[in-house]
Amino acid sequence: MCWRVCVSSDPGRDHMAEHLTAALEQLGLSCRVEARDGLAIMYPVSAADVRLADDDVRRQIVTLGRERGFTHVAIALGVGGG
Amino acid sequence: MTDTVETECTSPGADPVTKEAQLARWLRDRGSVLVGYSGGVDSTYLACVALQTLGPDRVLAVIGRSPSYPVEQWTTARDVAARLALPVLELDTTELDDPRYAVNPTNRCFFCKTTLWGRLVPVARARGLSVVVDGTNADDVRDHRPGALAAREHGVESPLALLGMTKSDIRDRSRALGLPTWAQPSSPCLASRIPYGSPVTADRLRRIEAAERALRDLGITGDLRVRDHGDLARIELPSQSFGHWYAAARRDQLSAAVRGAGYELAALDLSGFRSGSLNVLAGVRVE
Repeated sequence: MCWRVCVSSDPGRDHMAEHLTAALEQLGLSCRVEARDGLAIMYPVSAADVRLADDDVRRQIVTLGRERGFTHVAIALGVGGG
Repeated sequence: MTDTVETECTSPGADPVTKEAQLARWLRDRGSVLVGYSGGVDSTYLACVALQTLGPDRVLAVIGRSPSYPVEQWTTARDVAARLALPVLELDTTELDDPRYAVNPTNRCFFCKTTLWGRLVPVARARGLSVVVDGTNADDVRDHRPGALAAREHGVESPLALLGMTKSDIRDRSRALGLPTWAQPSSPCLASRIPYGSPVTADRLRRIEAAERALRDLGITGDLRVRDHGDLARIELPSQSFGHWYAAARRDQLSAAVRGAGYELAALDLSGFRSGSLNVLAGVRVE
């Protein structure tokens, strides 16, 4: 699986993104994460994961994001596989 | 001073019909009103009951136009007013000219409403209307509403909140009265889509409006917000429709729609629509 974390100018936010990336990896979700304040943006590396259509999977992701300091999690559209 | 509206519901368990009767009595006691009217669910209902209770000579609905007020809502407001034969006055408001508003602090609404009520209260006085009212409802008082302080400072009253009318009550009674707004999604101003601390500009407001219109044109119904994060448009849809719009072909349509409005990037929020979502981002509200 391919993972990378978007580089930003805020080490704290980078840290949050890295943690969320690692947590998403545990779910088997392949994407990179960019942190913008309290917003986490997921960028699918390959085809967007059909599992995101599942309410429980999205809830899990949002919970993982909140546990790592994000108030919002969104998936980028029209980039990579998204 | 706080930014809340006092609730004086004398019969908290009352049904919507009883509350409407209380509202009519409240309005009759005032004799005449100027209604801050947006064409949204609440102010339309309030204006309608005021019109039925007091008649057209004692009611004036005033629309405050500005770049933060969507054209589509303005059109609805005018259409509904025409249908009800509601007397309407339209004024341009200039909140964007106030730098305290434009820098977008967490109490931005206070400065917007200060501008609005600062225009409307003199109109009421000049026309001999006894009170200025707004459509704040009983649910609103539990949310972050810095605009409520501006209303209080200008002596503006909120009878729907005072009498304990919730959004659900208002939709129920609006439907019974045949108002076309009864099922209309809530429609806060376009500035509410911009994160606090990020400047409110006419260009950004136009871009948000264009993006939401383009998404509506794709067939999105119900609650919809385009949250403006600079180059990124974060789309909030009802969570139950996520699966539908995340299907491969449709997510490309979503992306194209917001890019066409001027954003570089589109993202779909995994939690879906949340009223006051940016209050959470700013830490004004905790979930």
